[in-house]
Amino acid sequence: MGERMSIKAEDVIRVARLAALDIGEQELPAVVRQLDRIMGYVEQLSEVPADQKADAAVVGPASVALREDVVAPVPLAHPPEAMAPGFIAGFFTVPVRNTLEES
Amino acid sequence: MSSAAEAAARTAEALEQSAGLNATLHWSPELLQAEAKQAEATRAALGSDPALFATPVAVKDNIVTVEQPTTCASKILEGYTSPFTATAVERLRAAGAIVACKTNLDEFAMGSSTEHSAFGRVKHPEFPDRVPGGSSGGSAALVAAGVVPVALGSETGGSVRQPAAFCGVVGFKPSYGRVSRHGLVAFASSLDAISIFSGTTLDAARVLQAISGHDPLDATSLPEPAVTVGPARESLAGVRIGLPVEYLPADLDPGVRAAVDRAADVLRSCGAELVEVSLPHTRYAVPTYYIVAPAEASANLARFDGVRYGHRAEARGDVAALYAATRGEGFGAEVRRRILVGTYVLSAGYYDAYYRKAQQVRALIAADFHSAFGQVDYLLAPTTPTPAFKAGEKTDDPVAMYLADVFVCPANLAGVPAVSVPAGRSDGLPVGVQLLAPYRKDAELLELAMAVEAGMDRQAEVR
Amino acid sequence: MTWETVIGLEVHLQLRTVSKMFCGCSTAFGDPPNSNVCPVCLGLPGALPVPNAEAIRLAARAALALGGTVHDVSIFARKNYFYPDLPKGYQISQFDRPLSTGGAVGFESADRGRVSVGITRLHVEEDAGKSLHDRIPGRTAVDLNRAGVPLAEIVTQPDLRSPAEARAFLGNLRQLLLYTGASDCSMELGSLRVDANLSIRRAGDSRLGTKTEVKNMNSFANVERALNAERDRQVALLESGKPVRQVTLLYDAGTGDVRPTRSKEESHDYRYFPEPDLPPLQLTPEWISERRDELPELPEARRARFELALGLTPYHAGVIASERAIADYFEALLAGGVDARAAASWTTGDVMTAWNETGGFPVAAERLAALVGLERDGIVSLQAAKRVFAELREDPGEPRAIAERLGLLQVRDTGALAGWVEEVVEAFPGEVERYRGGETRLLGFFVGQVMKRSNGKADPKGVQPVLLERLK
Repeated sequence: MGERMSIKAEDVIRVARLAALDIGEQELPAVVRQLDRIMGYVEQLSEVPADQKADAAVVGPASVALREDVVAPVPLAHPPEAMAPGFIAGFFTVPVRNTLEES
Repeated sequence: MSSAAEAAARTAEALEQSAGLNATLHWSPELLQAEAKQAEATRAALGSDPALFATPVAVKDNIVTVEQPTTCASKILEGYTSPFTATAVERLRAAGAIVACKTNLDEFAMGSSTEHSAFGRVKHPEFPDRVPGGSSGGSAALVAAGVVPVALGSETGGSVRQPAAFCGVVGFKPSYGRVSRHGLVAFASSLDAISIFSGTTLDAARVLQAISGHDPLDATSLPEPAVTVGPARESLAGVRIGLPVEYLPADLDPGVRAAVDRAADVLRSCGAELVEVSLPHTRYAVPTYYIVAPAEASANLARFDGVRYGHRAEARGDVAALYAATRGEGFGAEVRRRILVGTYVLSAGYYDAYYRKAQQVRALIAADFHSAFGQVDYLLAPTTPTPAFKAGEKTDDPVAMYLADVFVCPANLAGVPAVSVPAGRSDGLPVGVQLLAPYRKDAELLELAMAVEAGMDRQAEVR
Repeated sequence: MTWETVIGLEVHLQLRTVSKMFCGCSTAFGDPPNSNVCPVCLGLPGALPVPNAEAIRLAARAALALGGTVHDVSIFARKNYFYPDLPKGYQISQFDRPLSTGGAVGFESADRGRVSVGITRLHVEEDAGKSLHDRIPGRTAVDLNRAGVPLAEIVTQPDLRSPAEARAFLGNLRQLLLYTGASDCSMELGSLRVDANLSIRRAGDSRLGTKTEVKNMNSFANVERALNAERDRQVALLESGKPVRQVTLLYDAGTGDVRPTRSKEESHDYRYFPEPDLPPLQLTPEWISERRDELPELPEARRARFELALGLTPYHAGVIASERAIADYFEALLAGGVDARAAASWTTGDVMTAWNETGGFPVAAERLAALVGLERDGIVSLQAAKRVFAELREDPGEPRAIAERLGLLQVRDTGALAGWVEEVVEAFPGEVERYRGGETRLLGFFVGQVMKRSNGKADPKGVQPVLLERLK
């Protein structure tokens, strides 16, 4: 890291697109500022020498426990259509082009 | 009226009276009575009182239940009711407990003050202009106000111990994997731990006994049976307690410092030996946390897309536009910030500098604990740098808010169990101290905490 | 100018399990939409993945069959992208620590003879759901029954040099994988899917050209067609001085063309990172060797054994060993007492004809073995046996009883044979004289005449001694 490039509007726009998040034009400058502040803060990790090593970072079981191959789903107390914002004839629905479902 | 029904009625009344705290998101007298019926049925099936019979438990609203909505205090889940119930809640009910309510929190558990809720901030039960801490502020406030004896919260970076200290109650975070995460809405999977608030350490132990133990539905759940906690340690002769120097900086709040000294005195009076130890990477814990947790959150919160459940925006355009609009308006500012940070640190060209680096430092932080626990049996440290701060004080600067977790988040990064116990008051404000134990030593930690608790007057001024 | 085509493949294999990769939902094909779903594969808040042991076993078996090294530690990773049929917004896959790396699969290239194709890796992952664009007007319909179905992805080295080679290689790969039992390997049912990377370069050039990815090919024949189309497209571009751009193309089986997908605005930045819901997958050397022991004898080894130990012709050995079910049938004939040559001839003949017609074995190996036994013992002729075989496809009766019913049992009774011999001797006095005068090759003629008079029922082995005696 060393000399960190500050966060710019185009960084936020790129990342927001990857994250599928609308960021309004008016709020963009504030978001850029806050992200720059946060990234500037976490920057201090670069002080830790790369050759300082320790074993696996994450605790918990050393090995994943597997389940046997049997059909036994966790039951649903109510069906998908009870939760879905768009559901027709057994399918979840999303818009294709310039259409939105009438709700 | 049965004893469970009476407890349910009393709880309903207390919830009614505490409405001004804004600590709850969902509850109803009818549901409480239904819970009481179920507890009675459990007792009848058992033929005796189950361990937590008729005990009302408040549940943080990022733990799913079929009966009430689960919103995570977010607009994006407004109106969502889970079609399955969390393992921890199922186990509470199997032990005869009654779910009292779902409690308010920082949206998706992201915050340290419970001000980042889409449904308004939670007030500190004694000092309404102050925060109860967060993110499990609703659960903390209800236990502190005496509405419920125990409550479930969740920790990712101290979200139970910190509000427990602010509100003057016990807050216990078990070892990572001790309590099943099945049904806990994920924030950062490698850090998340369902945790417990209680008035007394004994009650925390009783809840832990009920909800711990391996769950085949959570691959990170420890392959061990439920924990059995013994009575308070009577003598601490031969026990070595470490005081990490990095947790006692010169500029530490004097009240907090005095609370740690008092706890150390109690431990000494029981026969323990106190020694200074060093956890040299402590100062990197918060920056490490603010890379690891947002990175995992950026993926964990990708499922909130308005396709299968939850909020869907009234946007025009294709499916990508629908996602962006739904998520842009559904998530609050702090959640969006963390998703952006997490996406940034995982994105092409930045992964090594940030995410991989943070994993390296996280391992060093865990190794600090490992080596400290080679020298001492437990650690004693302040829970928070200051007592409860004022509402609005830190909302403008995210980093200032993050630093409220400086002493709590290392235990999450290392996965070790930690408990905050009330240690008195500083200028009237509650102050907590925390005890930490090696990974998997949850029962031993609680037995020690009971001894410390017994030796301290939580209402006394420490200074 | 001559161009060299360079092709590598990514093969997705549905592992043959009854439940999904990370949850207990059924993998059944053809159920009503969104009926095999649960909190995990719907991506509901609070649901967690738990891996399917059988999927790991099958994937390891496939990896070992490809000659791969199955690693003692592999890591699940999240591959992040948004798509309506990807419920969690990430796919659980493996990235920098796959289940297996290395290996090779050989095949016969028409141009280059025996070619060995390197296997880069095999990893396990979950499938996405299905997006249907033509079901509901103006909307995309999403069915999540497939979401979470276990897959193994096999990535090859860019060792193939023509679309025809790609097709031939896939045939061999499929046969090998069928041997392992890891998958049904059906392109029609989607349990085997192929994506290809193709680039071209000037013959003799050692650097690789820019590659494109071709998807949506639903048969091996279409893989060859699609890659021919893409190769031609790239050649045309380069020969007209235009660059090849790195794009993903879809094959249109209707037109036989490839066309680029709508370029997604974000370049593929999948932000892989280790799946925090799943500890590392650790496999002991004992576990891995158990998987190796579960493998049947693989086609190469089987072919060699058929050739060397059983004395089959290279052609017969190759044909029989290529398909596991055929080879198993062949060996069942041997177990039924049929000698190797007869078994090979029946297997590659009538049996494979029936297999190609029906996709199965209408005559169980034990019944055919009994029939071949009748023929060996002279009870029916080879010709008669073929008629009985055709009958056995429909008739569940015993081969001998059927032969009898059809009047195909051979006559060995010397009295009856002597009668036919007498008729022949009387009918052909000239030939008898010539025979007796030393023209002994006429013996075959007399045998034939006897057979004719017996309507094929006379046992030729029994006819000869009777004839010799009479003609003395």
